[in-house]
Amino acid sequence: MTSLRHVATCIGLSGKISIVRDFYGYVTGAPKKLSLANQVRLLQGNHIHLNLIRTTRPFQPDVQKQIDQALQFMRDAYATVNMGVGRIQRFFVNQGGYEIIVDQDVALDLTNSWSGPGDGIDIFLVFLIVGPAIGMSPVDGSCDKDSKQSGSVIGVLDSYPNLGTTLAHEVGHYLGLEHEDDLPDNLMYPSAPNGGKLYGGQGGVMKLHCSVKPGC
Amino acid sequence: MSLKIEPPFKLVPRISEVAITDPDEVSLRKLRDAVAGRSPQLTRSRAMEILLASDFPNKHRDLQAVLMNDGESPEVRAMAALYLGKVNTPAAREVLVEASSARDTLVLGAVASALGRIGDETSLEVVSRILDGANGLAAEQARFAAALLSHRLDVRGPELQTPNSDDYLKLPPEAARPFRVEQTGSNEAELCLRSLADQSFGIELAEHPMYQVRCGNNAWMLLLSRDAVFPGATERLRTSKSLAGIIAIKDRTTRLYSSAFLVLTAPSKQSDGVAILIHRTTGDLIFAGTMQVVGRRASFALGAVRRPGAFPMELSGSIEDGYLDIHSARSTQFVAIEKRQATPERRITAR
Repeated sequence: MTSLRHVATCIGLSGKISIVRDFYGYVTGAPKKLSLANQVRLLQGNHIHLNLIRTTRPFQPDVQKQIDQALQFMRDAYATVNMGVGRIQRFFVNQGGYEIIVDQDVALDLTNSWSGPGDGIDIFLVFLIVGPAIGMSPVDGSCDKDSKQSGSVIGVLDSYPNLGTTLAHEVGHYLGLEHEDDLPDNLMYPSAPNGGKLYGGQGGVMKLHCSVKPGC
Repeated sequence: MSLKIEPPFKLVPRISEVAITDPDEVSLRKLRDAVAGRSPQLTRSRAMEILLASDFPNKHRDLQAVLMNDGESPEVRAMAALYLGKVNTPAAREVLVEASSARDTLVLGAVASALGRIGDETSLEVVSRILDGANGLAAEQARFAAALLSHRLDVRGPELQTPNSDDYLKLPPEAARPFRVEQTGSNEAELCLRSLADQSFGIELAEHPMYQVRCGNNAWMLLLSRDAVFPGATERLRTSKSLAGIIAIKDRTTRLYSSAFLVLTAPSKQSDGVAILIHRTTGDLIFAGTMQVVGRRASFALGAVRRPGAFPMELSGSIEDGYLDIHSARSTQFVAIEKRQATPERRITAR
């Protein structure tokens, strides 16, 4: 597995590595049968890294499982346009007040005042967002962690059972995708559940984003 | 941009020209089941949102059942408290007062926050009791809720801290960009008022004048209290505390507004003027400044307060009977103080 070691190093992993936990970033086990060859192939092309940042108390195992399933959903959706999802790192905000996003502006405050390290896109996992939104993200988000709105916010309780759609959708925004109001099957249709599909042109837009890494 | 969930049954829209006169009973039953956590079809937060937007009677009872149930998770109970704050009826207030003996910090903080939004003088006593007994985040939320009530009702309550000159962010001239503050048209004003129907924080908002603030991709609306726009209103600020208005932010996807900041004023202790404190709805002080009142007219200057994520902003102008005359409005796109870093999760050792 020389190429696996090379790819692991390329995405910032070192030392003793668990395939499921470190290489894929799943903490509750593989959500489905995984194809390591396929993941390596995807990381040899354009890919992104994610920082999952919880603002709540530690998630219960069933919620962790939902998050792992959401990551797999996103990987599958992005794979259709040959975009890989690489390193997943987990963090938490050690200050209360962001568990429930009472007003939209509090979500902006969260992404204006907190960040995760490195080159992963910051995904803030809150318990819920009061109001009709279940996720929020700037379109074509910044790669400068010191800029405003450097991250997406997702209501975990709100999103279930569409957490995968929400995650992939908001990261899609961050990578530059706009809503597709006339395509209910498309991942960027503004309501969930949707068909979760991406077309080639959208993949092309995403790959131009500054947070997208070249192939390993 | 945001993603919404379509409910699997008929939604009573928040904004509609059509009066809903015949609620579908089946939908109501499903909705109540979902609020109580007995429906796999709809999340509880979404169910509460739809319940709030509906004209179903006694909706506070469904939220009460969740809030008072110790078997529910603190987050879900806190959510029910926050929605009760939006129901904004005397019955909802009573439920919140009843829940003020909750032990969980998250629930207690949410109860205090909700009472801060819709409470009366009795609620101020309750929130003050929460403040005396709580610590940490719940105490912070109770302190701001009590201060908010005392400003709105112009009664004695906790003082809000006014920043010193060193607490303001300096606007770097080379990075400063102007932003627009202009009076909005009646259609946008009406949309904004409708959006904020359940977020008025206990004040009656004036339809006119209303000011739109555009900065970068975001649009805000300044709505003043009716009490702040009548002839002679400015003079009164010299002697009374007030919740003078709300600044709402527009959602680019839904095009609806939601409350973002609260404009509080108090007679200044250091000078003859008036202190202006603009807090986030959750309590953080974001902008502050002073106002000098001369007759019916007041000149003001506002700046951004130092905190992680803050960006420099300066706004100056004058106001008379609610009408603004902006002299200068400048801001930057960049956060001026280093953001706080999220903490890595402890790695769980793989077996």
